Amino acid sequence: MAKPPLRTISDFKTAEIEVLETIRAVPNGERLFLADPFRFLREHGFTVDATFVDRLTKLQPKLASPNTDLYDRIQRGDFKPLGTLHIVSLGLTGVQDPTS
Amino acid sequence: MTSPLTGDFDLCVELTDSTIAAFVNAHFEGEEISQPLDQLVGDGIAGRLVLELSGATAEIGNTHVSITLQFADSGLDLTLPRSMHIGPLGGTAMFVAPVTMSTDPDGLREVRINLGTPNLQVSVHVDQPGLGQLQSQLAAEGVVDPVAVVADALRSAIAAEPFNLLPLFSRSPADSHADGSLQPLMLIEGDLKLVPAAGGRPGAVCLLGTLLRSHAGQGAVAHKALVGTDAQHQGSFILSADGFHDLLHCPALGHRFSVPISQLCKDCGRADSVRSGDLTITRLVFAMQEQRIHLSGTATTGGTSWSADITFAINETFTVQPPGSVQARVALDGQPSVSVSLDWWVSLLSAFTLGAVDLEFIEPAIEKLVDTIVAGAISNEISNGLQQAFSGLNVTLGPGSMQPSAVAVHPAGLVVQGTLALPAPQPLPAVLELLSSVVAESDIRVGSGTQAGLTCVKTADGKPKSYPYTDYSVRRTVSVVAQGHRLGLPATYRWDIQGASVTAHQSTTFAIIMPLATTSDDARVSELSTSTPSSARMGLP
Repeated sequence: MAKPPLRTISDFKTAEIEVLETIRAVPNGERLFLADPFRFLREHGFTVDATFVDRLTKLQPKLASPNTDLYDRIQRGDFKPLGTLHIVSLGLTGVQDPTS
Repeated sequence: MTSPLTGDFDLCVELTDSTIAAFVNAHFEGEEISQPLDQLVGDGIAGRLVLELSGATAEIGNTHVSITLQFADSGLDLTLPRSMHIGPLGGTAMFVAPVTMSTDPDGLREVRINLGTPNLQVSVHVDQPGLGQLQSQLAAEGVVDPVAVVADALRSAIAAEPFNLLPLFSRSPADSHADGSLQPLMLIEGDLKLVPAAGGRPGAVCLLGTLLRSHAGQGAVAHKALVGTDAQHQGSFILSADGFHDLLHCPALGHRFSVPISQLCKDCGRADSVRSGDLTITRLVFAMQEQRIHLSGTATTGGTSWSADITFAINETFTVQPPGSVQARVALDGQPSVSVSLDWWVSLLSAFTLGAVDLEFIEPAIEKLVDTIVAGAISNEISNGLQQAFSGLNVTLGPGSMQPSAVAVHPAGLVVQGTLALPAPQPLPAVLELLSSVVAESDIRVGSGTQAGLTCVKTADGKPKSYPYTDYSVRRTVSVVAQGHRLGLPATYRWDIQGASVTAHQSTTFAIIMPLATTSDDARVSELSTSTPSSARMGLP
């Protein structure tokens, strides 16, 4: 089944469970998601609208500079994790879409 | 779990057979036993057994310690029916002595080797040629079993001055409801077990003890079957796994977290968790394994919108370094497993750098764990506890107390082996003793007269009185017996008085008739001297 497109924060909130399940299903998914969230979503079947990326980046400027090098190393297995990581929620409940 | 090292008691203190032997040897070696031959009195025979003890050994059995005394240059000196010396005799005497533990009314427990018991079993072996000499000379006097005579005299001698105390002391707490302690060593229950040498391990006398009321009744003497001390050490202090856990491990944790033991998490206390700063320890399970104590635990830590569950394992190992000092070392066993849960968006809002979750969350969680449990505080507590426990034994023999020298961990208990500077043999020097006695005394008239004009007593008419008198010389016959001790070789004797030879008589006994003035009784036997040939003079001072 096709994964829902992510155009708004509201879409993202709606897709939260599916996103979390995808993260858990991928080896080192948590670390890949934290290193470059939008690349991870695109590589795993989500359609991420560019406008939506801009909106989130305005809310959190750190998203403008993803850690691409780390992402590549995790993907290659050139990375030794210290422990396990669980992302329990996207934490977007209280986040307001500035355009909405 | 049944412990062959402690017999399910909290602790066991061992002293090996060689240590017991050194202890016994220090008491007996170089000593001289001189004992009347009471058994022969009824046969018209009188004399003494004189044994020069040259060493002692001990062997531990199941219920007793066999103590073997070696003797040499010994003999029987008979005075009746005729003066006779039978010797030199050499050989061994083995005493089978029960070992018991007694408790005084004031709570002091002492372990005793009962050499003073009336029916002490004694076996004497006399080497040739002394045995032949003993048998033939006493047979001539009608004695059928001369070795039994020696054994009987030895039993009497040992019973008269028994050696019986071992340095294994402990006390009971003054308060009958209180727990015992390691320092000073206070036991609520104590027992004794003898384990014979087996499988390359020495035999040992073992003091078993329970310190904690909660462990009362768990000890089973029969379960103590394995000696923890090897042949290179003199004794051991052994703590059972439960004893170590309850007496050292949990108190160390309680001290570290500044809470009573009951407020610690499992498996020491009853609380669900114990906190230290940002870290919450939820479980710490203790297991004594081969070569290490293994602790497996869980902990949690966290902050705003994130939490970490940590599963970890710790190895506790022990060394004696520097010599005499027990050190505990606590280190992580592998990498802890840290499971971090977080809200993605909140983590973005924090100071954390995108993608550096290991550095920002996991490493600090491990560092907290290391600071809390692995850092020095707990190991120092345990090291000090062990050191104090060992010093509480107060096992002293010879020049110093027993010092820890090796430590090993086994599932059945932690063994701290000790060394003791055993007393070096200090043989007594050879001595020639002169024993004198007056054997006859006679008065010889040498003159007489009348002393006139004495005024001290007057006649009835008040004039000085005259008294007749007789002068006597006293002739005293003195027997001087030269009694050699530890001379080594048979001695011959030459007697002289003030350098002038008086006889070529080669005997230990010399009789001299000494005319003494009635008013001068100070002629002494010290005017006599003896000398031994050079072959026998070796070792003389």
